[in-house]
Amino acid sequence: MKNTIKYLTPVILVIALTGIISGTNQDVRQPISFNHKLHTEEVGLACVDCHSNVEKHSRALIPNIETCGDCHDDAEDENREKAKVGSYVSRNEKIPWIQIHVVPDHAYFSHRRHVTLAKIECQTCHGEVSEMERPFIIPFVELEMSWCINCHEKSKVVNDCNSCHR
Amino acid sequence: MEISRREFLRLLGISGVATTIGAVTANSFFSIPDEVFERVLSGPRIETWKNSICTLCPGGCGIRVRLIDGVPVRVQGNPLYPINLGAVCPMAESGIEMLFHPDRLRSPMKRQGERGENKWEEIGWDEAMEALTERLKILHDSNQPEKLVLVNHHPNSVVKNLAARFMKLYGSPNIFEIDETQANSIPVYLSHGFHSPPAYDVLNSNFILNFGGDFLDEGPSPVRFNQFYAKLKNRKDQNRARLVHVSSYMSRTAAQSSEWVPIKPGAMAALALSIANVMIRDQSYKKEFIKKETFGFENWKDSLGTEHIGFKNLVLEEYYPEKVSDITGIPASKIVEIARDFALTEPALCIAGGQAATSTNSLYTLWSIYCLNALKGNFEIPGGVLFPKQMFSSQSQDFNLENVSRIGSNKPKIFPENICNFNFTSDSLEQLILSLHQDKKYPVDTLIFNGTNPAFDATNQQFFKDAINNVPFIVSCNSFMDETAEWADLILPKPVFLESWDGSYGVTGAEFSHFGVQQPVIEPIYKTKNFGDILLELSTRLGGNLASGMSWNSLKDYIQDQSSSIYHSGEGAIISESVDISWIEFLKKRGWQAFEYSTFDEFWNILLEKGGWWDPIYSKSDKDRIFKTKSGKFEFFSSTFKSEIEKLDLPQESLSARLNYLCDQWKISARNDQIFLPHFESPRFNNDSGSYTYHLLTYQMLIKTNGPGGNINLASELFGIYSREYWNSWVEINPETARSLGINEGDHLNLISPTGKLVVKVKILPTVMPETVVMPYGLGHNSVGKNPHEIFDTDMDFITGIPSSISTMIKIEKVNIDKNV
Amino acid sequence: MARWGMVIDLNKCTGCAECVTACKVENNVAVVGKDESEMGRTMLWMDILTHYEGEYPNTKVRYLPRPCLQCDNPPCTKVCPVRATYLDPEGIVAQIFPQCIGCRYCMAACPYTVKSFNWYEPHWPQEMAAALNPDVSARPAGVVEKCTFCVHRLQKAKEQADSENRELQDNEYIPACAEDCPTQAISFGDLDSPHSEVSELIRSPRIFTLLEELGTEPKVYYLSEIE
Repeated sequence: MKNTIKYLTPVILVIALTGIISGTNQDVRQPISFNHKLHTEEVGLACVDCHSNVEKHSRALIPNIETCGDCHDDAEDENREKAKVGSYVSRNEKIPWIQIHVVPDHAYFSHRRHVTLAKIECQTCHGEVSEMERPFIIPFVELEMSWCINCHEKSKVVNDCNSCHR
Repeated sequence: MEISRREFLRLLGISGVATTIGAVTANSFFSIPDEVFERVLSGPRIETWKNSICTLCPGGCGIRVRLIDGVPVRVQGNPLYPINLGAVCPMAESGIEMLFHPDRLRSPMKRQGERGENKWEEIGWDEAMEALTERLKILHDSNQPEKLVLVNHHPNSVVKNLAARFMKLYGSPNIFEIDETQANSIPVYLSHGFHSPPAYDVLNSNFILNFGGDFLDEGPSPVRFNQFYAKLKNRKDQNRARLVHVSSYMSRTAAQSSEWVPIKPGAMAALALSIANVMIRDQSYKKEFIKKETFGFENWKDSLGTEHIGFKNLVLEEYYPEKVSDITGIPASKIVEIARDFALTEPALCIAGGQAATSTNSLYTLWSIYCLNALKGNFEIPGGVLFPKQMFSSQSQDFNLENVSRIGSNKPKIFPENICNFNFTSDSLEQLILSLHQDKKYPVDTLIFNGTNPAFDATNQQFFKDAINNVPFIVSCNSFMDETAEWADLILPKPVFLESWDGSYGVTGAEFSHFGVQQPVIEPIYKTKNFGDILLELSTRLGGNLASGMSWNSLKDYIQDQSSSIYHSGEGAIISESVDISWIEFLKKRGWQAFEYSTFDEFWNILLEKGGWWDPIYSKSDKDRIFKTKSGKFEFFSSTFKSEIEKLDLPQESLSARLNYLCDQWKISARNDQIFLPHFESPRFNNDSGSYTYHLLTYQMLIKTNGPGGNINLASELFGIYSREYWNSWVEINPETARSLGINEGDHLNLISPTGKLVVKVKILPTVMPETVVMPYGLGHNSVGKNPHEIFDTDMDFITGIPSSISTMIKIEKVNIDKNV
Repeated sequence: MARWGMVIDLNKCTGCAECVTACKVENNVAVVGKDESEMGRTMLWMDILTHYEGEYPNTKVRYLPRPCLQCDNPPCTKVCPVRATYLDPEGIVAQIFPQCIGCRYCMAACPYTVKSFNWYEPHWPQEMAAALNPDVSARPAGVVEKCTFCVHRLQKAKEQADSENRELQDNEYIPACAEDCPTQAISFGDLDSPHSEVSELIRSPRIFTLLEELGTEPKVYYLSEIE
């Protein structure tokens, strides 16, 4: 019996780990139920208005209080979600967004390269964000290497390993 | 609170103390402030650059720091800064690790338990400053301000000036300025009559005779000298410079020279004088210059008609090559060869440093070597010895001293009886320890260390504990816990150079005036205060003339104030891409300024952006500026030295009685006129029993020169880059020594000196002389490596206070170490 | 397309080891600590080889900085079972860390011993996390690493050139060692461009490569010291 447990332990561990990894995203709760649709359709904002780094830098970033604070600072707002933003702003505390679209450390990915130079639409990788009434809890696509390579092959751009891996 | 510095290094590599970077996640145990960490994790990764100065060594290189979202990740050279022209050394490179090092001191601390027990209580800045203020106030109010001792290690920095001002206003003469780069000011003082380190025009010289100056690894500015040597080696064909390196160990500098001439330890003066002997016999010295511009070369008569021996006859009688060959171990033919090369090449320069100032005869060694430049008439000529303008040198005394302070600051320094306080000497840590250890003229009450570590660096550290035992209150200002700070009563944490203000000027050996601003590239990440601000706050708290004499709000204010004098002088220019020297010169000749800034603020902002200011135009000095002696000439016979001795406060009336007394005190064999002439004093070695047969020498590596940062992991790991002994010390011996003692590569040796023992691994190398064993210096701060200074048995050149580390003699024994242990 | 190469002038090199330090800091090369070092596991992408010649007192010491030699005919790539190391189109011998299975065949094949193996996850003091270069990934345990000619700098330089709609200029892409050498002993550039500094230097009579006889065709050249 003892022996069985010993042999099984790694297996159990692997199963447990897989569960954690694949299960993570379903359990994500963003701090504020952000409504992309409202901001784009009703307020009329473009993606770059808030994700301001996207055209010039490699990281696009999730906007935080410096950006949100331009419009929201009322912690007492009737709308519960707005009030939450306002309260972060008034406390000068960062909104603890959970980043969903993550490119691993060992890949060189630049938004400027893709958005500004290659003129790829945001929707290609992030989906119809402007239709979303809730924040991301799972990525639009799993950002795996095959996703990158497929597109690179289709658009006949460089797909040498060393041009992205670092 | 426990300081886990020792443990930390041992544990490196075990996940308990370390985190895995591949998956960096926010960690509640993370001890750098959240906002810094936040920027690293999720910042936009925007790259910016800031210019500053590295003050880890006296070199003061201009640096350009790469910041990602405001967090420094890389230190590189500022390409515009004239000292280093874009290059830095491995030390500066490790500045990033220094900034984020886990051993950083994070808040002021008060001692708990016994001294040296290393138990501390964190306290606030207010409490810490109050404690120090109270102490100093009582001292000052009871008319004994001289009992405050300040040990400072800030060569070429404006903080040094601020500290000197503070001590003067407070009323204590006991400021110890530790600066290893000042040795060459001594011969300048003796022969020229003023105290200033000379600059050597190495780049324009065709023959460099280097006596022991390991300038590629240590000394005034290693980066500069690495560039110089590369340029000299790389001149085209027949213009290649010849570099001859005389030393008892083949350092990297010697290895990069055209020729290494091994010499017995302590014998350099004899070689220099023998070279002079050959030049005088050959009549190949600059006769015109010697005749017109020097004093004491020929025999001379004083006003009473007494005949005195001249340098020429002394050298001709005593230092012929065959005799010197026995002293130095260099064949007479080699001496003649070097002398003729030196005499016949134009321009030829003679420089000294490092090993030339490590013996009991350091003063006469440095002086004898320096006099070779006089035989070549080398002053203020291209490829010769230059005397650049001194910046901020005449610190105007624009303050009033209280009576207490005036009396206090005029008291003698706490030196022991046999060390004179000549004003041509610079202070050493050994002198400090000796002063505290021996019977003092008066007791010391408060001792402040600013970034010095005598418990590790000093070669007589075995006396350190006893020395400080008599001091009631010790303050250590430092960025890290070090061996000295462990014995303190109060610790004031300093920011590292990337977080603090300072200014660097007048780097030894630079032939142009320059000023670099060190500005914080990141706000201090812990509750630290730089030493300048500590002094200013202390002055405010102490009140009175101190408060009015030190009225700057902050160190930054003081630096701005200093810069404004540059701005108002209208000279030179802020370093920039678009200006070359000839253009500034062209404008200046026509009475124009290279740059006009409409306001000081504009000047200041551009200064910060570019990192520095310089005045590249070298105006040749008038003779009366470079010869300030009684005779108005270069003096082989130093009347300056003579008058210093006459001025000393001694009971003896007549000069000859004084000299006899002093020579006994100084343990030198010279008598009468010889005292005032360059000559060879036999070096003293501590080998009374005759059983210690090897000289123990040390050398430093650029990767880990002494100074702050003994605990830098990067440096410890790269310490063995040449020897393949990473994280470990070793001892180098000559193949001959190895054969005779039956030692093999990798064996362990027990090095036994009269003061201690060290067991180290052996490297057998042809770079070592048979009568010496050589150890690198830099490791030994913790469980890593050994510190050779622990077993030093140091003597001293008592005239100058320069420690004589080569006096240490050791015996070596092979030890059998069980490899499995 | 460029063919990147390096020329190290031993007559200018003073052996100061700034290149070694610059490389370690730029590329987040792990500090392995005392115990690991004693087992010979020190990681150096750029190393300095010290060579002692002659007998005392006629001693000569030579220093030779040694990065990955980026061979045109690399022995290491031929033995890699998973193409984690291969010769990229611009002549850089790539080392793709996530692809590596840690078999260490390439380490055995490299005659210059330029590769190191990550025996453990790289450990750093926690505070040091902030000090790492974000442009280079920290390597996980079980992979081989080596000098990449600072390829991350090439990636960034290319993007910058593209964003300004121009070709990559000379000296726009230089590895950290070449950039920081105090004596400018290390030159770097396109060997195929007729006017680049490196292509001029390799025509010097002083040029040599390490272990030429093996036919590895290194793209890191050396200029011998002038006696």
